[in-house]
Amino acid sequence: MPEITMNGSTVEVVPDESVLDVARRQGVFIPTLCHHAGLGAYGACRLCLVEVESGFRPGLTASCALPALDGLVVDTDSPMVREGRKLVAELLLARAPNAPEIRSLASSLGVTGTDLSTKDETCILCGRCVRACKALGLEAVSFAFRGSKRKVMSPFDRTSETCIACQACVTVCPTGAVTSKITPDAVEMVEWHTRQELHRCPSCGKRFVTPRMQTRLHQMTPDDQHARTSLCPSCRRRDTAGDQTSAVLFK
Amino acid sequence: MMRIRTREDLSDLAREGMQRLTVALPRLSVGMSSCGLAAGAGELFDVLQADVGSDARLVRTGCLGFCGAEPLVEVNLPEKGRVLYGPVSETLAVKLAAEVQAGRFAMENVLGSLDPLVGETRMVDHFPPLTEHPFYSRQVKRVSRNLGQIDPLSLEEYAARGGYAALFQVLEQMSPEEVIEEVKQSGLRGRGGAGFPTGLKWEITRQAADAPRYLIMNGDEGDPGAYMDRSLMEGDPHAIIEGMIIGAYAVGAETGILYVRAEYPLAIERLSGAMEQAREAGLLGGDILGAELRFNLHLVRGAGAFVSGEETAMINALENRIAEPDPRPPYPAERGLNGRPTCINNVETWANVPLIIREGTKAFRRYGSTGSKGTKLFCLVGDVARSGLVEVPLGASLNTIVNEIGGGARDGLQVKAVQTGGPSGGCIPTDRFDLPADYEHLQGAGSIMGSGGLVVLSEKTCMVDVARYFLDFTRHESCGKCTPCREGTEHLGDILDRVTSGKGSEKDLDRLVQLSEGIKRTSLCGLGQTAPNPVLTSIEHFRSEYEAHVHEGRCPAGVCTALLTYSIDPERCTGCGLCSKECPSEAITGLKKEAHVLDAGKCIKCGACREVCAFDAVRIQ
Amino acid sequence: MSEAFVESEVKAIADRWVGMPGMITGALQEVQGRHGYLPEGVMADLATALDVPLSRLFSAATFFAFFRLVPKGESHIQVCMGTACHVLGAPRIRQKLDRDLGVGERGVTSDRAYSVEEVRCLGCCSLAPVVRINEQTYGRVRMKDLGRLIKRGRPGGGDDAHQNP
Repeated sequence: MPEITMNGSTVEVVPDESVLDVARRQGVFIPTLCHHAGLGAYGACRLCLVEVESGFRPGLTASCALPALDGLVVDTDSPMVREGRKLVAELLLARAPNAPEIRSLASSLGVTGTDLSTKDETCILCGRCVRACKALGLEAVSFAFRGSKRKVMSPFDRTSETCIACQACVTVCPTGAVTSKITPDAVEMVEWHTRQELHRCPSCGKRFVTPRMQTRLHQMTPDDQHARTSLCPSCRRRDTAGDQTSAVLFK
Repeated sequence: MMRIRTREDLSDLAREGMQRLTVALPRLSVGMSSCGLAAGAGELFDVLQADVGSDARLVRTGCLGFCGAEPLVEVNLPEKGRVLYGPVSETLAVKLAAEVQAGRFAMENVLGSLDPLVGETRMVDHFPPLTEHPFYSRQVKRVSRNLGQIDPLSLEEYAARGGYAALFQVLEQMSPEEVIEEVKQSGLRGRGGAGFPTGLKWEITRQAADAPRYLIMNGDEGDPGAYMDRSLMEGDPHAIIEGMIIGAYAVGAETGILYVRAEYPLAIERLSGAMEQAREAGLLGGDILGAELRFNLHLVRGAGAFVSGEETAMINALENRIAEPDPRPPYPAERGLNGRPTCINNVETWANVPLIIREGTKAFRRYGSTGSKGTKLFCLVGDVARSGLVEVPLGASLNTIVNEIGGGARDGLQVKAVQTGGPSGGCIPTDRFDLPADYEHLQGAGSIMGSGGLVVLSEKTCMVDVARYFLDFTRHESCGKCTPCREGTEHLGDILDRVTSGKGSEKDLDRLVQLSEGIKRTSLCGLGQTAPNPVLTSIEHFRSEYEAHVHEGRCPAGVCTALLTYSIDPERCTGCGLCSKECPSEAITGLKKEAHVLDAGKCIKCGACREVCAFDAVRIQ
Repeated sequence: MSEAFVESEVKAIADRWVGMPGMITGALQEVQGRHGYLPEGVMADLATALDVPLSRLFSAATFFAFFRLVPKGESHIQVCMGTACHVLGAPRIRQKLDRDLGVGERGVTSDRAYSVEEVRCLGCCSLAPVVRINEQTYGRVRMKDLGRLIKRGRPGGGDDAHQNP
């Protein structure tokens, strides 16, 4: 069985595991920010760096994207690793000094301040929102510009024609940079300048879904279920329970 | 263009090419690469065409190498030989044309004489051989042997010089594995800068997975100050194509992509033209030379992003995403374009392949140092006396390149350092010029060889300003994906801006070093990993300049404008008034014929007054 | 230009590029080649024709320096900021152009007569500093040549300037 050595102990590994996966399995702590189990390895934040001693290019590598190669020897907490993480934390802190999550992350790594010039961003460009939107097949938002001018936005920074207001971006954002305002009548995706009205349930009249989300639900379900998926969750449950031959629509 | 199917076909083509190169008529070659054109070669060509076009053959050729003496024209007279002229003004062009019509060589601005391209050796008597000209005498023209010698868009002339013979040899006599072994034995390493063994990369690509596999030519030459690849693409496009067809056979790929920077329109034009010729000749497409080899090339233009030269970034761009890099593994040779094995090689690497096959590995290995075999193209630019494109064996010392070939600094200046590897490299001071120019030694010195750009810096260069310039470049080109590069290069740039405007401190210098080392270790790709090199090397070798800036508020080289004061020397000023006319901020006043006065408070230090003063009366401190 | 014309032109461009490597940058380059920049409406049409999300086109258009979302001036001036050019005075040339022409923040004069941009290394380093005006490249440019070069769009008195390497 293939195995790696992590912090001096040998661990058996399975195919296609990353070093981060192994660490998590072993209860070894490695901080992450841009990593998300459902969104694939991105390698951008550089917090999850580990030091490779042999079996791969020596030096620091992102563990989220480093396959657990047979014979690999890594250290997840060497002085080089700690220094590297501190630098990343300091740079993030300089970018977003007023974001509570960044402040506490930095503090947990021993960084409480910086003499570098500071900005006042909340977004730390981890890319989770972009990747989530892409994973859903929508790509309503993307990275624009590059370098320090890089920013996530809807095309031309205007109302998105593609956003369905599903809230996936809001859910995955680690710093709360992506926000929405949900009222009984409408959902507003603030940063994407998109406000969509909520449509009514044909049965009880409650507003519960945006038209685009409705369209997408219909695209995902067979035609003969469309009547049911037009109902709000409560009515849908009642409808399903009353129908003994219906298929399970949502697990 | 006839189809080439057999060796006889190729010989016929070569014979035609030889006829073109063996002159019955005088042949005038004008160096018309982009640099030649920028120097006015286009207009010269028209003048020559008008004056002597009916009695001579005029050829638009590639870079003749000595760009500092552009425009360059080579005159080839039947029975007499060849003479290279440079720089050629319109006046001289007219003279050249007149002399050619009289069957003579003009005597002005002669750089040297050359052997005929084909046929017996014959020296033109009263002119010294070009090979003895200091710019050329230490050079070895191997991969650049066709530049300036042939019409780049003449398959016939390329064939006359041995072109496509290697392809025949490969398809008739070697298996794909044997070709890979030959390239491995040669010791050829990636000429784009990373220096990865080419044969090994080919082997990995072939073995990683079954077809489809892809080949890519990385023509995204983005180092400012480097134009080796541009010269090859413009001057010998068929060499690259032949190299790639051989590679396609060896690796088992059917599709190749030529990725060229958008800023190189002439290279795009010449490569496209050569591709079309190769297609018509049956050298691209299906059933190449009847060997059941199928290979097609597509040309893709870059769109202005230095980072797209990074392999994974280029693949992302080709897959219709932005050119941001991805973590490796997987390496492109294992899983690249569309998830398939993809072999990406630099332009110069591909151009070396036909040479290796045709002449054999022993001939290739005759040049170069222990770990770095073969020759390398370098672009010698900056404050150098003789600038241009040079080819030397790897391992030639910096002293040889900068002082013997380049003639040291221009106009009485002193060489201070040379910058190698562009924005990813570092500066090397003159006391280390015995260093061999090869992969290991330049890396050991804290720099890298990079693609071959060598910028000569003199006492007129401020090393802090150079570091700031490179960081400006890097932070503008950073894709912004990873934290250390995006945020780190910005901070490095900010600190350097402060230091060059006199607002820096000793603490800033320590910060520069600490940040630099951290960014190198933690960045995702080569751009971030090498961006701090100019900072680290300049602080290591020229710390005194940094300290003058922070402790004395002084720029020793007289470059950092915020730290300079302009004034007019009353002893030298004749009161001609030219400076005050040029001054954009009305900082200079004075009466006619009386010494003028410069108001430092209004001065914006643009340097216009110094440029127009014929009496050297403008003082800068 | 009528909407129908633009739509058919976009479709023609898309047909040429669909499925090709570098489809997005290739198609955008053609659009910019025709219009001088990337008009928003055309980009939306192109996204539909290529069947890619508009956000991908927008990402590419803002990521790659080649693309402009703002029209060029009648005379488009590019100042090379390569190493050799920098060392030989390119920043001063850039400043003088900005000053003399009154180029605004977006790099274009208010009357759209001129636009100025920095480019990264045109590869003519032995002829630094290099300036390109409307696709015509000029080498060894001195500050005092600028006015003449811009007005006539041709190099004046070039011969003598090139005598000494």
